Amino acid sequence: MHSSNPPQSPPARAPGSSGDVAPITVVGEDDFALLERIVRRESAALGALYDRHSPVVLALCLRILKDPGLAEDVMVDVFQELWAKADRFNAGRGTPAAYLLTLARSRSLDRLRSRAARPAGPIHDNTEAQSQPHPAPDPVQSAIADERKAIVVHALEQLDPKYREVLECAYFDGLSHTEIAAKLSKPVGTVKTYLRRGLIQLRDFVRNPDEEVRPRSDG
Amino acid sequence: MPLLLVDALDPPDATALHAHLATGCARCAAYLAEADATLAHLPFSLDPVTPRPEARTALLVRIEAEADRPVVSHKGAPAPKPRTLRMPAWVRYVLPPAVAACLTFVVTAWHMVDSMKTQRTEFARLIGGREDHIKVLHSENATLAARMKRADDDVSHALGARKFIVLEGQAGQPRAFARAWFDPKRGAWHFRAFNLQPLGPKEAYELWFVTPYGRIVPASTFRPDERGEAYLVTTLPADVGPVAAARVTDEPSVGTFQPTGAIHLAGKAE
Repeated sequence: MHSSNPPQSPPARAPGSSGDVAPITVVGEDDFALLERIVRRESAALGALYDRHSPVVLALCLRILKDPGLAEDVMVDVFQELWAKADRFNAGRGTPAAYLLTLARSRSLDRLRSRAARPAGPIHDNTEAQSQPHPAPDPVQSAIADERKAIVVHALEQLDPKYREVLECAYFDGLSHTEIAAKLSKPVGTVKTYLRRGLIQLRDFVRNPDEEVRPRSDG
Repeated sequence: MPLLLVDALDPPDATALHAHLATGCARCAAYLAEADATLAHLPFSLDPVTPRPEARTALLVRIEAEADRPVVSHKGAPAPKPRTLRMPAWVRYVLPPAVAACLTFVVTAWHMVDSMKTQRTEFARLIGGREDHIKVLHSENATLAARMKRADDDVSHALGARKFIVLEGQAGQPRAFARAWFDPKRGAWHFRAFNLQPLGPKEAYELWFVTPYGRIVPASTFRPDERGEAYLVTTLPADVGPVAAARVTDEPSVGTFQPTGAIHLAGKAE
C-alpha cells in the first residue's frame, strides 16, 4: 500500500544505496529534510525523527541487548549521537533511517560486548514496554511502517533458512565469521558463502517486493 | 572482496578490507553501501517497541544541554558558531587541579593556624606554670637563705661551745636528727631538731638532759614546725652540773618531770 502523496526528492544517493530498493513513500517532511534541520540545531526536527523511528530503533536495541532498560538507554544515546554528529551523515551511503539503525546496532553490540561477562536478561522481562505496538499518530505513517515490515518479513521468509540464520547471527548477534562457524558447527568458508548468498537474496527480495509479496492491483 | 558485513570479518580480514577501501576503490565502497542498505531492512522485520515517554523527555533534556555545541554542516558550510561561555580546553583541564590545590592549601593553612593557636595557648599555660614554679623556688630560696643564716649562727655558736651533743633518730623516726650545744656566753643550751614527725594536738616533744650520774633533767617542751624543724634555747638549773647526754621523748603538751613517752632522739655529749 502506497500513499497518494507525491514523494519528495531526497538528496542524490549513490548507486546501490537503499534508494534502489523498495520505494517507501514518506509522508510529510522526509528524513533528509529533518536531518538538515537537525544540523541547524532544530530540536523539533529531532523530535519528529524520534517519533518516526524510535520504535524500530528500540526494537533493534532490544533484539540485540535483550534488556528493556538497557535497550532504551542505548536508543536515547543513539538519537543523542545523531544530534551531535548529524553533520557527519553521508547521504551517499544510505538513508537517515539506515544511518540510525547502523548506529543503533553498533552501539548495542558495543554495550553487549562491554557487559559480556554478565548474563543477558530474558527478552520478555518488561512485557509492558515490549508488547505495546507503536501508536503511530499518523495512520498513513502506520500503514507505511506496516507495509515495510510486511516486505521485510516476507523477504526473510523467502530467504533460505540457513542463509537467514547466518545473517541473523552476524547482524543481530554481532558474531564474526569464525564465531558463527563455531556456533553453527560449519566451516568458516561455508559461513562466508552463506552470508554472501543470503545478502544477495535478501537484496533481491526487498528490491522487488511486489512480485513476491503481493501482486500489484493497479497493474 | 571477501564480504559485506565489515564487522563480521575476523580481524585480519577486516584490516585488509579497511586497507583496500582506503585506496579509494569505488566499486567495493558501493558494494558495501549496498550491503549496509540491505541489512538496514532487517530491523524492520521486528515488532516495533514503544519507548516510554520518559525516554523522549530524557533525550530532549540532553540535547538542550548540548545546545551550545558548535557544529559544521555536512555540506561543508560552517554553521554559525553559537555564543558560548565554555572555557578553553586547557582551562578545563588545568582549572580542577588548580582549584583542588588551592582548597588543599587553604585547608592546610587553616589547620596550621589552628594548630599554632592551640600550641600558643598551651605554651602560655606552660609559661604560667613555670612562673608559678619560679615564685615557689624564690620563696624556697629565701627560706633556705634564712636557714643558712641560722645554720651559720649555729656553727658560730657551736665553735664556741664547750659541750656539743649529736642526737640521732630512734626506731620510730630514723630520719630525724638534732644538735644541742652549750653557749657559755649566755649560759644556755641551744637545741635544733630536723625531720621530726608532727604530733597530736595535745602532745609535745620534750627535751631531757642526762647527767653523768644518771639524773634526768627536763629542759623544755616544743612542737616542730610544718617542716619538722624546731629550735629552742633553754637554761638548766645551776645545781645540775655537767651534762653527759640528751634525749627527746613525746609527752603531754603540758610537759612532765620524768620521761613517760617513747624516745625519738638520743645522743651523748662529745
